[in-house]
Amino acid sequence: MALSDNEVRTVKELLLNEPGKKMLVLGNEAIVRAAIEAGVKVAATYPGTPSSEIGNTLQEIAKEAGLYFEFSINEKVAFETAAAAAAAGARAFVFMKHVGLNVASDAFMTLAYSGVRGGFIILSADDPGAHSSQNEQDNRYYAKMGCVPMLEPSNPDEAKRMMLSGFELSERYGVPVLFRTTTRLNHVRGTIELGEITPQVGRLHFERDPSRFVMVPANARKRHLVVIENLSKLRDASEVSEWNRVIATRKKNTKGGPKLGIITSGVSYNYIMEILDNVELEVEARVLKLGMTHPLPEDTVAEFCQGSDLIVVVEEGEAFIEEEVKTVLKERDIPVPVLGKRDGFFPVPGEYNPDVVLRGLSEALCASGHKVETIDDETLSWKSLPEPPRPPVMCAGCPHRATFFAVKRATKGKAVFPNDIGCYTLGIAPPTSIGDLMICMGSSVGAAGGLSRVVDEPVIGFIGDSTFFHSGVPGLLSAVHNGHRFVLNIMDNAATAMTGHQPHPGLPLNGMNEEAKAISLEKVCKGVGVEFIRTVNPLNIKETQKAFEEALAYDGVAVIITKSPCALLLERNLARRSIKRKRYEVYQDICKRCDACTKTFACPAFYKVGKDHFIDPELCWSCGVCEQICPFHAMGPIKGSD
Amino acid sequence: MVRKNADAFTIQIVGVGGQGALTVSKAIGNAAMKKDLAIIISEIHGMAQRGGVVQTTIRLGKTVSPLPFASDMTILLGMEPLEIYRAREQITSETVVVFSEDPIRPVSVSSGGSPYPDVKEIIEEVRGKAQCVYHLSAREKAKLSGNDKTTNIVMLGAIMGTGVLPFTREEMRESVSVSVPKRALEANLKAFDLGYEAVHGSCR
Repeated sequence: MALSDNEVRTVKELLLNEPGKKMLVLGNEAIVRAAIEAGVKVAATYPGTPSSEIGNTLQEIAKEAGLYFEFSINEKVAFETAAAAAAAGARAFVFMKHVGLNVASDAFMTLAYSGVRGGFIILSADDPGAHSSQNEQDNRYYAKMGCVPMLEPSNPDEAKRMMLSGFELSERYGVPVLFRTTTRLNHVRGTIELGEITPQVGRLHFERDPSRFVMVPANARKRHLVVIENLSKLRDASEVSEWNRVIATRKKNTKGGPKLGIITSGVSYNYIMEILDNVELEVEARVLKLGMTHPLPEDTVAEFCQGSDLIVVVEEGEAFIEEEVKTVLKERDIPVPVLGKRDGFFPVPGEYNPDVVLRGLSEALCASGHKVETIDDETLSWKSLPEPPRPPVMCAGCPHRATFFAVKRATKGKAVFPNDIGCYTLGIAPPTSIGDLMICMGSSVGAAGGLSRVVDEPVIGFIGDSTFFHSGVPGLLSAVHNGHRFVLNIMDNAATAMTGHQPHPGLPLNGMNEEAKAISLEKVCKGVGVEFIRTVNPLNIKETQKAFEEALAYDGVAVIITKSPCALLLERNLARRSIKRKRYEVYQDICKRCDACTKTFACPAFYKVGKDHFIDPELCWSCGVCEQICPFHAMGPIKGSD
Repeated sequence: MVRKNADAFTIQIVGVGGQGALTVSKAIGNAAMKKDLAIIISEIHGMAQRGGVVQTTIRLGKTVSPLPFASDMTILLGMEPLEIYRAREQITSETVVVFSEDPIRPVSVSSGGSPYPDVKEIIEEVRGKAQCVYHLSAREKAKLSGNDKTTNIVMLGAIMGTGVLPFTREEMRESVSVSVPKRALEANLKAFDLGYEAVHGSCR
């Protein structure tokens, strides 16, 4: 469902049992292959970019691979599902975007006490640069907080090999392993070599051990001691880990110069190598590449630093390694300077690349009295031409745009709009301009309650169907019980659209690509006590506007479900069945050039030549809303078509 | 002078979500795999489908880095003229620039607010600076191929026509045939040839 027919054919190759075969795959696909080779029996997720393709791929191949995969309702449920399988003794895998681990963190922190019997990998896909996220949090701190080992791969091939060794590590010490990736690994294509596929375990008998798996206070206090003891063993494992190693001096470095030690991890390693291979440095550089970054191999680090005149730490995100390195050197009285983010040489926010890293490295070296080859960059002067921005927008035919249009008519713009995570967040752009407060998944509902207690305007919250199931339901129940007064609009477009149309509990399909029981949004709302529930088709502007007007007059929590499938999904389904839809046009003889269409609705298919309006037939997805919003009825189906 | 990795090719594709840059990079990927040439492709997904700017970076040869130095562009492929202008900081005197002349107006323009730059002016601006500049109407060529949706393969043909990349015309043609849907194979091969011939030997 999330993948096109062509993509499905490609990802099926991940099942090939041909050790030695080389394949060019996305980082996320390499991770799926690792799960298959490791004999994972249970995998679970809630979709989130940059980890989404792992789930899309598993949905297509899980059945054939003989493993169980589910899109859980949220990351916490996904975590618990996979963790339980690992506690029973099967290999299990849970994956999510970085902020997803916040949702699952309650389970994460205590599972770290119990540990696991089967190998368990928790993949956190961090997003430096926030390409598609609400923050840039560095989840490596979770490894420290949960006292679990952590692996950080640099490229797809290493990700696959590292994940396999992660399962072994997890089983050897009976602990979950945090596997930390970043966007520039998940969404990078590289070559992998297929390995042997380990058979999965059969049905297991759960061996009862409440002292380990039932975390009442008495047990928790004892297990905490085990966690601390384990951490010390894991530190020894980190000292000898194949993933922590010194990389030999590169060709262009000056022999005999001061000894520069670079400590790096993850994708930053790639940028450092690009620099050392191609830039003249008047230093003798060595690189300590850390793949197992928690617990830090302190002896290895100390030894590496002792042999250097200067240490530079290069890592995307926070100063996670840098702080640890500084602590180790201080404790051991090793007087080698360590430069990184804390001195301002490298940035904390944003994504790294070779230029960012070279700038930081040059500044660090200059500050220490060493030289870096400088080149006079070309200065090309460019004439200043118009450069209109191209932000992502709601698609032509998107039901959300129609909903927002009706809401603006119903409220005359006088309302506060807490919104949520999904495509409808794009409603903040003009001329829609809807969205006043957005924090995280599900926050629209709790925020609507809080706002309704303090603001003098009506409150309308917006939440997508998948997001509502993810974490909107408890907020709604709480709002009804606590007697709040607001309108909640559940925007049901029949998919987890933003991340690539994954199924959710409201749809008759599951992660195994099997038919599943669809949970009714109306029944859920009724079940949590909502008494005002209306379901409308947002592509009918009048009907939608009227429903919102009635909801605004209701004294309590009112729910409006706007139900119309995602335009991208609809278009793909029609294309599969070779159905052509009627397109729309502007009737030039009727159009008064009033600009109401572009100024209030702004469908991406609209365009102007001079003062005349047109609809691009290539972009028009025939939703028919323009016909309803034009004050002069100058838009409608292309005449002569039916 | 330009900071670069002399042992690797970098192809950067800039364009708009939905223009098929992914298929172009996959075709180049398949060709590289067949020749046993090291390749790394970097994409940014997520908001791409919603009409935003997309960038794909392809690196061939001796490197471990998915991203190059900003000035290290062997070929800058613009699927759209405004996006070539927006990516102008990546153009150096050693870059070969290939781009489509067909504008895709962002909503900020189509809704009447901002002006769209004059494509002729963009061509003039790019021409004096890059090592070589090729531009063509991919839309026109795609129409000739019999399938409007082959503009991406027209542009792949065009960058092959520059003769800069380490593949023969036949090798890439073969790779195209395994990278596109079977039902559209003929049109895509025709689109590839049309793009190739449009730029072959016509550096300006």
